[in-house]
Amino acid sequence: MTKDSIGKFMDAERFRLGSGRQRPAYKPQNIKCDGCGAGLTVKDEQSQMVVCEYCGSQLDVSQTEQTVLGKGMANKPYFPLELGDSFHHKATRFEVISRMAYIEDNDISEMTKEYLLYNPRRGTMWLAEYGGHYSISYPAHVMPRKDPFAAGRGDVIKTHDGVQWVTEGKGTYELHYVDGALPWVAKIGDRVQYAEFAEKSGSARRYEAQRIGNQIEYGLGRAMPLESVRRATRKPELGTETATKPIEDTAKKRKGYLQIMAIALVAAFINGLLSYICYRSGTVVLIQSFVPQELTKGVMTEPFRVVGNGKITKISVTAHLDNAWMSLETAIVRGDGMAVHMYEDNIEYYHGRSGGENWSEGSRSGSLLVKIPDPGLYRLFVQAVSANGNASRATRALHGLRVEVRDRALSGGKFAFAGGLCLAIFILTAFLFAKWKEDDEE
Amino acid sequence: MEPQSIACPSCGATHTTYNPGVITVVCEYCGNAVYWDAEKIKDAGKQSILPEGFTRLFRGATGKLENRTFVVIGRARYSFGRGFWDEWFLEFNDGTIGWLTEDNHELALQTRTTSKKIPPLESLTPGKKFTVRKIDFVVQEVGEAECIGVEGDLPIEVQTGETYRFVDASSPDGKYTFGIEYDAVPPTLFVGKWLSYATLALNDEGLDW
Repeated sequence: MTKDSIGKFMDAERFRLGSGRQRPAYKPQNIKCDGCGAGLTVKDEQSQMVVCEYCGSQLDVSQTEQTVLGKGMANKPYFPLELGDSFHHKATRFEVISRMAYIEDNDISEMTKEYLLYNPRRGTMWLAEYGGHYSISYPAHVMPRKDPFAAGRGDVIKTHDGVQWVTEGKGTYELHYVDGALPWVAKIGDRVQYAEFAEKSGSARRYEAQRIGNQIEYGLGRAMPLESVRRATRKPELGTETATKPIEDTAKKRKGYLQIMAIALVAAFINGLLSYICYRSGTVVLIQSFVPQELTKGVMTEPFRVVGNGKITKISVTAHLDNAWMSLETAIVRGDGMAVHMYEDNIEYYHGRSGGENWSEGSRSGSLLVKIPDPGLYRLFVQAVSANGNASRATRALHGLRVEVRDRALSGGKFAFAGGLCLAIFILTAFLFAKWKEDDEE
Repeated sequence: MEPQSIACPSCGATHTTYNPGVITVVCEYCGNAVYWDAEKIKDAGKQSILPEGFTRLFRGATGKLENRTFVVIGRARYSFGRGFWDEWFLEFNDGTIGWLTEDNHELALQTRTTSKKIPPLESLTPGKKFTVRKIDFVVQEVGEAECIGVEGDLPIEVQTGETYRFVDASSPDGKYTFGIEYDAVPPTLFVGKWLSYATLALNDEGLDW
């Protein structure tokens, strides 16, 4: 409805602000506990549930006639703050008007205690305590961009104000104990589905979503150091009576996992790149191909020059194998006919398709890095036999071979190893990260 | 339009209203709700009178909200099963009216609106998104409301015990509210904005805190 349309039937001139009246004196409502007959006073007119401080009966006072909802006195845990205690926040005094304890999975050691704080000018606020760790929160209506209850630990969600949050945990907890006066009706056993989030930046800010029946509520707040809670409650001894449970900083842990993965991935990439540079390094001093007949008999390559002096010479061979293997003998022969280095190598390459997937095994190529001490002209002597399929023996070569010699090459082995190690660290961390997230689901 | 004087058909007490939008007055002496239109005055019978409370607002309270002076001229209280909320009927110094919803010490200022396209109740569940006039809203609550008390002057006909299904939604940025009351065809709609509790400034806080 717009102002204009309202104006059609409103007569602003008749508005009399003086029609206001004085605030009527508030008379606290005196009620009698249906459980034990004790006289109780309802301080906050908006209270809808009052718990008898004598017998623990939970009284629904939201209707004209009060109803006993149940008793929870037997479950009463230790609360370091009493009803009526003050909590000073931003130069405002709040008062504890209700205390609640929630447990999860019927595990009493996993208890969250909550204090409902009230100030008539500021409204309500929650102080929550779990394992000696405190946080405050207040109602909010900014919503997450995706279902907060579907997010797993470590998942990032964004709210519509642009803030990113890391999921700390989710689950369903059950009301185990309540006392004081509440502005709604709460019953022992009430179940609340919750999801909690910490700001991704690592700040103390917190965001939460709770589903209670047909209602979803959101809250914003922040973690509060014990020292701040002591100052706010004027209770310097607060927190000394119970041991503080170590709790996980989810945002920090997630950040740690992601940092390790990012560093490992970058290191793997850098090492891979360096390894490739080494692989392609050096001056090509020989490229020559041989047919099978030449390889069967043994063949000498064209001469090539190496600089020597401890520089690395890389000899690479590539055979034209297709589901076949080759056994190769190679010798580096000096200009005067003396063999200075000999080596044997087997290369094999198999591939196929099974179970709907392509597979391959082995490689068509191999390489050798050698240090030739003396500079000069050299040749390679190459002899090979090869066979197709699974044949275990061969007397002649069936496949051709290409030989490449690079002088002044670099060894990329360390980089390749480091790259592989980094990749393994990345995969392991990713696995642990996924497991950490799954553990919370369980 | 002159101030309108109405005699309570039950006890005879005289009530004067200044706002022509008001169609219900709850007699503060005998608790009867009085409806009227141009032709007749109807007696709606005894209503539950709401207690004056510890809440900051009260009927007759004056104050400032978003730089406008207001007076509270009526209130209706609704139960949603697990609790209740108050709808404070405000009149502003510029002649406009509004509803200030107070639920668990949270405030939202709302006015009635219309829209041709409103999703049916059955299609709405908490978390479900719908669009009204190109603005997205997300359902936060679906429930049934029962009027459990009224007081003062109101621009609607309402009686204690009346029930209706409702849907409360907010814009995703948490700034605006949208309420659908399936009490008629088409449903009654309210649009508004969430207010910080601290933004409500009353002339007479009446609190010793």
